[in-house]
Amino acid sequence: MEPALFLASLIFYALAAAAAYLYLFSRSQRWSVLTLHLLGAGLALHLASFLLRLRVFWVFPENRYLLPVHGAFGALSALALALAVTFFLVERTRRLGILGAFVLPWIVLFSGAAALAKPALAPLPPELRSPWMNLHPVLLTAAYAVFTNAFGVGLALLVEDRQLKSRAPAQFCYGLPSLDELDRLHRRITAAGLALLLAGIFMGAMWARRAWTAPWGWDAKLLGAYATAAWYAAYLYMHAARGWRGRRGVCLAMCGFATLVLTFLGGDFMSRLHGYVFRGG
Amino acid sequence: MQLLQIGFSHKTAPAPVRETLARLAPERLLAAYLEAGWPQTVALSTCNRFEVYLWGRAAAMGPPALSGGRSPLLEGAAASQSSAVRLLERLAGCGLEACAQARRAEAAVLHLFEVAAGLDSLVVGETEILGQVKTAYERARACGLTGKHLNVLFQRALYVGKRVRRCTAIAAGQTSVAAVAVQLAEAIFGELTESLVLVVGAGQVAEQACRHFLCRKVKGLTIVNRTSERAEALAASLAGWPSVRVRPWAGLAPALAAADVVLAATGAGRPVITGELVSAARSARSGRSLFLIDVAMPRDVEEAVHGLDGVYLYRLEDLERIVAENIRSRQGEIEKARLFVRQKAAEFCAWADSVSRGRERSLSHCD
Repeated sequence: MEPALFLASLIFYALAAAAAYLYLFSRSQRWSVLTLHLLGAGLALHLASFLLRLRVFWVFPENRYLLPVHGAFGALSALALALAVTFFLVERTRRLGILGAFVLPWIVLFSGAAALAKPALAPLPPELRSPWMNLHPVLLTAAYAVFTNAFGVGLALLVEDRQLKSRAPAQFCYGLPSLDELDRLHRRITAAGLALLLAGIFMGAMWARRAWTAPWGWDAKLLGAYATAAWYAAYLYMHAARGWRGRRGVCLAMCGFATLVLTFLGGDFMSRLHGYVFRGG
Repeated sequence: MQLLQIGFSHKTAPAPVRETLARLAPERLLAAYLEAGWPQTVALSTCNRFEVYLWGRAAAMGPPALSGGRSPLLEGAAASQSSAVRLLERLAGCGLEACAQARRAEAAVLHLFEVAAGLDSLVVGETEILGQVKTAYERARACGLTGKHLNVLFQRALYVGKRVRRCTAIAAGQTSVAAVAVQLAEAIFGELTESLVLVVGAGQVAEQACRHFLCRKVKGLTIVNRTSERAEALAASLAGWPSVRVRPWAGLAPALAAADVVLAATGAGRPVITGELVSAARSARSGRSLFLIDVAMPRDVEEAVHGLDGVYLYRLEDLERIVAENIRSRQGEIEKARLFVRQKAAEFCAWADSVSRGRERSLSHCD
């Protein structure tokens, strides 16, 4: 039942992404509405499959009250879920429309990758049975999701800026929020993402102090996380102090997003201690 | 079908006639038609048209007679139309028959649907007409002057109007240079209520631009001109607006640093807003965007400023090109809209016939 629900959610996410692209090229509002409905359906199915998975995961007494967010399936599925929830919330409140074309493919990508992985069904290793471990991956997953939304908003800003610079803006440009509003939204989402990222890193450090006897280690994933935080902090500083608004600021924040993707995927292969996604470490 | 429409539009009636008709109190007009034996009446009054839709007298059936020749066989129908126009003449106190246009049955339904869809408007696809049709219908309904037929007809017209705008790009894109300039400014800053506008120049174009931006309730408008007296005179002509101020020519640089939207319309003959001036202004703007509109010929703004980050320069020909593209794009959608409107008018007529035969067909809005 649970794999079927997960697969169905993946199909709805893919359909939502397709509708988002149709909106991008057709300018018809109905595709935007359909995108949100399809995403809502995918989200409901994904949540249902997550709850079923939680029930199976908690069959082991050692796993009780801990979340199944470790391993390739757990991490990628949680990331897709967090992304779908944050995108759904952003889209419901702001109705950017165009954002879907830039964010939904990531949800399909992560869900698709999760569908290829085999869900781990075993008691958690003793060192992972910690409340800090419940918060650390959840906060970081939420931060990744929030940053991906910021990336989508940033892309929308770059597209609109380019259109306005062309002196022949396409009609869809007028359906987007203004450049100023996109810039404000991008800054706010990035600030929220950075707060989540720092809190997640802190929770990880608290866990590491007990598990590794030191809160810090020379690990590729850790260094990547710090580099990501540094890029985003630099963006927020330059935005506030140096007036790096619009295209310039977004480009700086996108360096942070590139580091984040490298940290999440590349870090998994290079990291000694965080190879949980593909190597099952 | 017992539907008669008497209309006076910008195509058939001169403005003074339409003004006279627009001054008629709608309630008085509706009551007069009720007294004259028309149980269902809706009066639509806008700046470009005055129309009365009447339902319920058998004599209204038949081809139009006001604008064409009269047939002895259709004297009853013609008399009915003439009486409807005479009643209007009595209320308006002027002769109307020469500029009245009558439509009956299918033609009247098709016309109403075209009006609601914005196909009969001066600016095709404009959305204001839909609200005006709604107001006219609701006013008549509140007076108890709409029965089953006019209720369904007008609800259907509103549905057709909305559907045409949703499913075709008939209303997409502005069709005047000023409206395009405002739309671009809104694409950069959002609502202009928090934006400061700087107008460089004090000629006729500058005055029009000032009025246009002030109508958008901008936060403030500053006029800078090489001749201060002309700037003062322009500000004096805009005395009704509270947020207008004049700065001397020497104050152009600080005004540029403070403004969000700049309209340049001087007759200087050389660029008065140079790249250096804009670069210096940008450093004092904390990264805020700057939208420049250059409508002067020769140019007032150096082309190089468009290359600066966060600075958008549009010249008159850019705005005109966008307008031309919007008009061309709308034209392409008109045929699509007309086809849909004709189809919906035929559906309504089939429904009205089925009602008159006592076997009412379903007429769903969901198709």
